[in-house]
Amino acid sequence: MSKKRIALVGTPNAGKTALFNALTRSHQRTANYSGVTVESAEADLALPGGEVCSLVDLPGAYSLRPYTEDEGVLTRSLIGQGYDGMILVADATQPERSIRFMLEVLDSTSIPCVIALNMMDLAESRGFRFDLSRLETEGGVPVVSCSALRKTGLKPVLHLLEKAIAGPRREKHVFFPPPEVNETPEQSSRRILEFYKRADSIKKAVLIRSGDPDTRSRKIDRVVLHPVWGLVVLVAILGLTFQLMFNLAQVPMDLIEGAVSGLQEWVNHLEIPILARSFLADGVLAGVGGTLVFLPQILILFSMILLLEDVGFMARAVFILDHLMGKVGLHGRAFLPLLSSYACAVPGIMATRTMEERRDRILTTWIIPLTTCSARLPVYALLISAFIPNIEVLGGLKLQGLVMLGLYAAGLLSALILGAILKKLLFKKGRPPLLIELPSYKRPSFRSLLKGLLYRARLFLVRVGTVILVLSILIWGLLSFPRAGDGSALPIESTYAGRIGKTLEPALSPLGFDWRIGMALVPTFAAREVMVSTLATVYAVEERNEAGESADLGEILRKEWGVATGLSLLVWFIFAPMCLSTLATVRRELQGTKHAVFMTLYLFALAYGASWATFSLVSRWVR
Amino acid sequence: MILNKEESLPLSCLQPGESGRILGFDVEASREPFFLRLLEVGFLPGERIEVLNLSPFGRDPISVQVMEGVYAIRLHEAERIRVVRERS
Repeated sequence: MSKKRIALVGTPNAGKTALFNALTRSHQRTANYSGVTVESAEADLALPGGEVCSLVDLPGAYSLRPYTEDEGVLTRSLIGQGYDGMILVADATQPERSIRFMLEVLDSTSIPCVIALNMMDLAESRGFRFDLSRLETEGGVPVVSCSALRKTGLKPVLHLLEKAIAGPRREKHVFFPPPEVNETPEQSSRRILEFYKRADSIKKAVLIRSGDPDTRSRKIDRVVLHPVWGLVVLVAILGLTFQLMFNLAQVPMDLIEGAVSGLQEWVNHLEIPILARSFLADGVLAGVGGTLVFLPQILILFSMILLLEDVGFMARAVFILDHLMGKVGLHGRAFLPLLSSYACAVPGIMATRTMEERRDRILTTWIIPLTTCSARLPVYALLISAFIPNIEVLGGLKLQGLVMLGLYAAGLLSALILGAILKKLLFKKGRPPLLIELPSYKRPSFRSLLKGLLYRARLFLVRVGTVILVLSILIWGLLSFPRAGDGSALPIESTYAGRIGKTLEPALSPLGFDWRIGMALVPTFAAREVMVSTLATVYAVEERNEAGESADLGEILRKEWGVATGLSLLVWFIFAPMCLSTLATVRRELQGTKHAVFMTLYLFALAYGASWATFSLVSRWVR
Repeated sequence: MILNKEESLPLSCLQPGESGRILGFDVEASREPFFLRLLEVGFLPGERIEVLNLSPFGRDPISVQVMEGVYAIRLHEAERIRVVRERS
């Protein structure tokens, strides 16, 4: 028998995810919903009687009449999919909204249900008093007050849930007439107003005393949204994030690199055939290790993002930046997707789901590949160390660091310019309206943060263990075959990869790229960072053939390439036609191959043009 | 508290710290999905609305308190919400 499925539903910021984390031990897997593919967390939930169910954390919504794609997921899955039970999370500090949503949900489904009136501790401290038994009578379902953060009232929730799902389906209450299939706006608005009257009368009956307004959040907002201080806070937070990402991450990254090269060393001394050794060391370990090294950076960026979301700052950032983003055609909500994209474009593109208008999603998704994802970092680091002299300019500033900063700025600038152009060309209509809630500030929950991070880490590790592993092996195969008659390695230009490089050379020579670079560019479609390990392999193989020992890769590159080639390749990576997993995500999220194809083409064109210009200019200038 | 029925003005005219009562939306606006969504979150005729902050850039969007929630909306939409100023 399959596990019973329990839905967790509620309004945004009602503490749904906090409750999810408090009730379950871990995120077990992500569920994919038909229709639009949107992932929700799903985990095992043990009921007091011992039965194990599956708890599904559905996206929050203000109403079942969907407005964003996110909300569409909720409505479709609640009405369409077979859930055996449901926990309806209501925010006790927002009784009006909570009761409205509750009534709407109870109206629309017959799924057995328990209402968890969350944040009761906060509500009581602000003076709210509820008549819970009245709420139970009105709704026809059990109500439990609880606090997900303090973990109070959780046991009764599970007890009542167990009882509810053992019983029959609920009878639908009809609080207000259900929406017509093709309702006109007038009908909708009449229906909403009618419904409000009902909800309001129920609220008045249930709410014995209304609480004081949240003055603390107002006070904080006076600073955070202040014309001057607000900007200071925002810049400080962004600065801190990037500082942590690049400095704090260094130690664990070195550790991971050390561990991987230690393993490679160990493999190289195993008593197994040389081809097997090479497969393990150069194929599996080099490929997987090269990507795994980004885990610390991704975790640091996401812990900042999760923390800021948890506290309630993200919505404020949207509020502050909306006007500026609008100048380049972007929605204020594009801030979070763009920030995430500095770790990786894939979660960035997925974060565009929260935008109401498809137009905004498309525009944001289109420019996301221009933000400097962390996979470009090792390539930048290698090329900068090889081609930018380690000198100080302008009184003590390191030129190498400045160039790195410049590359980030170039990516951002081109993203903004592209946004402005796309806005002019494709989206002449005015901006779609904005509605975003600025939730009360909350103390972050460490446990919740940790869970979110573990979830991210798992997604990343799964990718490393599947896509990246397979591609690394494939690339290794291209670099290692065919072999000579006696089984020994052929010169690199005779391998499949070498032949691909040779084939590409005529097209790439205007950019200053020879066949070796062409060859190294091929696997960058799998993952950009593989460029470094491919170059390492290519030159290590060559060097070994000639001299029998390998030197520092940066030094080799400086010897082999001209400055013009090095800079041209750096510029190429600003635009670098993105990795396959980004393309796959674009295709899935925007539901169209068209977008993925266009994006590849425009990025290629940009990269080719900019590299060509760089190479031509620099080779004329530096003789 | 004096409610002056004559004094209907767009929400965008209220300054931070000022509050009013919602009269309704402009006629064409009330047909748009966005304004239905506003109704759903509580921008109902008769509700109290208070302007809290203006965004640092361009003084747009603005944040308003309606019922128990604080929401950010743009001036473009705020212009289409009719309110009466409330003096305390």
